[in-house]
Amino acid sequence: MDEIPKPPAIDLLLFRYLDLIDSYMTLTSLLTRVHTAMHVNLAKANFVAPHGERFGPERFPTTMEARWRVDVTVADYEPPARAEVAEEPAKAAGDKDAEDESCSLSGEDSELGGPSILELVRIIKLGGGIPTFRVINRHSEDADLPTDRLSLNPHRGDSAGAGGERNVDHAENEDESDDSYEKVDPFPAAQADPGDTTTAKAIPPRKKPSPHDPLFWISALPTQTLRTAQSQAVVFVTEVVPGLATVAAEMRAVEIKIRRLRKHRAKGLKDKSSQEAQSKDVKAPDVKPTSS
Amino acid sequence: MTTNTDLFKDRKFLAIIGDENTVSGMLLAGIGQVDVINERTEKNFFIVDAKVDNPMIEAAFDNFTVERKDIGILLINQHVAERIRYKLDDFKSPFPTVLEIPSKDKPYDPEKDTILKRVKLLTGDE
Repeated sequence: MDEIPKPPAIDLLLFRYLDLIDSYMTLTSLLTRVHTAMHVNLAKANFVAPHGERFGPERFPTTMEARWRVDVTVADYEPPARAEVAEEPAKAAGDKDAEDESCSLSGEDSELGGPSILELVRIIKLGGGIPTFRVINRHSEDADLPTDRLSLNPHRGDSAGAGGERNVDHAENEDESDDSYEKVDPFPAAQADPGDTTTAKAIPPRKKPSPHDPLFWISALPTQTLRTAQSQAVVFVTEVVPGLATVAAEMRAVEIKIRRLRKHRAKGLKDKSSQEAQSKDVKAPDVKPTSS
Repeated sequence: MTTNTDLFKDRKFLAIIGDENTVSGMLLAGIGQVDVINERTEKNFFIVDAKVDNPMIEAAFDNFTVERKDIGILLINQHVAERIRYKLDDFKSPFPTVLEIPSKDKPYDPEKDTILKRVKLLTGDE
């Protein structure tokens, strides 16, 4: 006879499941916020675009290559391990700038009194799930992505829209002090006085636009709002979506386990009750009706 | 749960079925992949506008989930998912993972989410 599983096994799984539901809901609200902020900035970029241009799908080239790829790793359910956000190409290439940017990304929002999105996702992204999804960059030279200008703090602003607007301002202010990312300066020569050496030194060398950056596919001189929209879209794709996918996959795995244990328990209980019934029948004396 | 690596080793792209604004945002992030195979253009995104009817969405969903083996995560706008809800409910495969996302005009409704419907089913059948 199969051994009846102890109730705590199911209880523990249900407890874990509740934890996952909470993570899923938190990530979903985060997703909504990032998504809303991205739309707001994209709408602003469309509004200020010259000649009534729109940054729609038709602006993108007819053939393109994805700069992000999904990396799926499947591990056994136990023992649980912590999933990490992937920034492997940057580290592999020894890109110190990218590393610094990721550090500042997690640090800058903490100073404002709450965990950053990356920290929140790291906390929420519970390990041990199968499979674990990560979205990583295909091109190591693109490692210095504009995620350094992440501007969305879930602890700032009550409504998504208001939070998004405030964060846009924050991103703009932030950009003034941020020299690590290329800035579009339409008149660099006009602003710099040739005789003033200090001004000339202060201008950072402009980086060449990456050929893999979709921002430069659709606009030669992208506006700040378009850049911010892209930053938020990158956070959406690389942080929130893989986190949600991992949690969803783990939920599915836990669901399957719970169902199996429930079936197993029901079968065990049924077997036990039938055995008890059989033993009662054996113990009961056979009373045969006497025929007269 | 299977651990067969063949199921997921080639699943390296994100795909999206959504309205124009959402697809624009995702393309701006850089998930767009357009290949030309035998004079046939294969995209990993599908734009749902007023001209697109339900069979076309179903076909796109089948393309990304069944036919193509290189999609790891499929994003779909919730209001689009509502139009092919039975397809999402029937889809049981672990890959690709299908995630419902909000759109610009329609906010996310947890009541309609397939994953949260499964939660109700599991917690309700004890």
